[in-house]
Amino acid sequence: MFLRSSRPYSEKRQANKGSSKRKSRGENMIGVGKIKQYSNVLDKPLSKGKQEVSLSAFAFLFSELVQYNQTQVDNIAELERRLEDAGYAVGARVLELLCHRDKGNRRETRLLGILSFVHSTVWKVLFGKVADSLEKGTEHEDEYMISEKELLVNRFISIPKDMGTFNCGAFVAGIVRGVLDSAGFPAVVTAHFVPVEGQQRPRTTILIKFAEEVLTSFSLIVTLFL
Amino acid sequence: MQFFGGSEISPSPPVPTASGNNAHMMYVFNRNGVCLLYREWNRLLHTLNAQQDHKLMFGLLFSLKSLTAKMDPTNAEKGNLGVPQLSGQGCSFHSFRTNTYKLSFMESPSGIKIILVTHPRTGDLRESLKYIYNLYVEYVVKNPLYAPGTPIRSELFNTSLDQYVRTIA
Amino acid sequence: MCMSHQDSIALKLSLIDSEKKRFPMAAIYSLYIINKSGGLIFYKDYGSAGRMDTNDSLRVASLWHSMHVISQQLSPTTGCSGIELLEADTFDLHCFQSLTGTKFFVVCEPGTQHMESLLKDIYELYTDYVLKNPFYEMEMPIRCELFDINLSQAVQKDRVAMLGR
Repeated sequence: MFLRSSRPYSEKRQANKGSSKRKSRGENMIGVGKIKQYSNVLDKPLSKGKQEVSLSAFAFLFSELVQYNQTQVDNIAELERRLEDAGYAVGARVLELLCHRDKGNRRETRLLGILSFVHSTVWKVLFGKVADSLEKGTEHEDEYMISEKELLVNRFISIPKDMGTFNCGAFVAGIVRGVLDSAGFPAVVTAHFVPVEGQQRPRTTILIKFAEEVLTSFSLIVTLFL
Repeated sequence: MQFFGGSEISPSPPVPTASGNNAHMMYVFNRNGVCLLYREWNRLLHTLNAQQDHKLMFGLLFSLKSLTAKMDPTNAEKGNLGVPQLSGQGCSFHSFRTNTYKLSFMESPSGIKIILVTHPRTGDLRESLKYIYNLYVEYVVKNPLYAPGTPIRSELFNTSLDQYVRTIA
Repeated sequence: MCMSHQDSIALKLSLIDSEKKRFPMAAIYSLYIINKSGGLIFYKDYGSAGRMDTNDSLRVASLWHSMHVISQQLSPTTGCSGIELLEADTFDLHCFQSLTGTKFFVVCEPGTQHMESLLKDIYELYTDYVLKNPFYEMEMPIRCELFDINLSQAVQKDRVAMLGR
């Protein structure tokens, strides 16, 4: 029992090392070559810095994260959940940072606002580009999809045949869930491979299914507004 | 009274492109793997004693030959790996190159193997090996005092070989 | 209509020539990757006559591994790193060994150029799509979809380049 509770901690730490490296390195670059020394870390400006990190370094680290988690689980659903949890911690922190940096400490309160924030701002900070598409689900009102032709975390990963529909994008789904959850839009987020016609490789779709209360409060606001 | 035509070596030696001391060593093996001749001109590294060195060289050639015969991509009828093959049977090789040396290899129909180890940037030595084979025929095979299968001890062969090898670029 | 014998031969020859251009001979016959202990971890055939079965390809790989080591022991000077090119009667074999001991070798038509750079490209694909894949176990046979896709693209590109010359 004790061991179990200690696990998520190490996993979160690993995850953090992995995906927030992008920004932490940028921060590490601050002050390099400058004469000005800040006596207090809080005095440092939160500039964007250099927003680049070696893709190989990230790929190896992410690969280790997946391998480590693989040794800790019995089935694929469990592995997916652990990757998602790892991403969740990243997402929560990313929201905090970006609200401070880009939004003047304001948080997005509209549903579509937060979705486009994830689709563009978050994606740009994490992956260096805006996500390929953001769509509304056709069958259900409460479903949205962010699609990516080649998700960065899946760039070098081939899923073995015996793992079925497992997608390492679960980590990214976790990030999205972390951002949405911390912003007050609880949702179930999952990653899926979707075959594309005329393409050898399927694209990855991050499916966001909002919790019931989000939609009701959303429609409440809409009705109030009307 | 005149006997058969002169004793000059029939094909003229291939034209050397540049002079230099490029050759490191040479081996001659017969079909049973007996080392008939080992000449050394410029060998800095000796990892093994002479006998083991010859054995290893013969083993390498034997294995490489069966490897090339097995790998031959143009022939569908390949035997099993490691089965000894008659000389001239199956796909063979004529040279290989490493970063420190180039080994050129020739096998006569009677199973005589001539191996010349040279500088890695030496060109195609197939003609040169043929010429050396010719020297062997002239000075060794035609020598009445030479018993086939015994080590070659011919002063004449050695000097002409040394002389020729010096011209190989 | 009358056509001289020579003309008809010339016509036939030019026909053969154009056929060749449309259906170029496979420049590369096969590709092998062996791990540092001599085990075959990848084998792909690009159209050689009489494709080798699994047992034979495993045997050929381990034989090549030992030949590679022996060739180093027979070097006349120090610093030998094994066979780079083997020229056989009907094919050339180019071998590239990475610093970690993994060997890549291609069997191609005699005299095929630019094989060293192709091997380096393949090595790069291996480091990207095999080593960075969390589901790949080191030193084990390579079964990575992305590696296969990118490899066939690299080989295809090489063939197109051959055609252009």
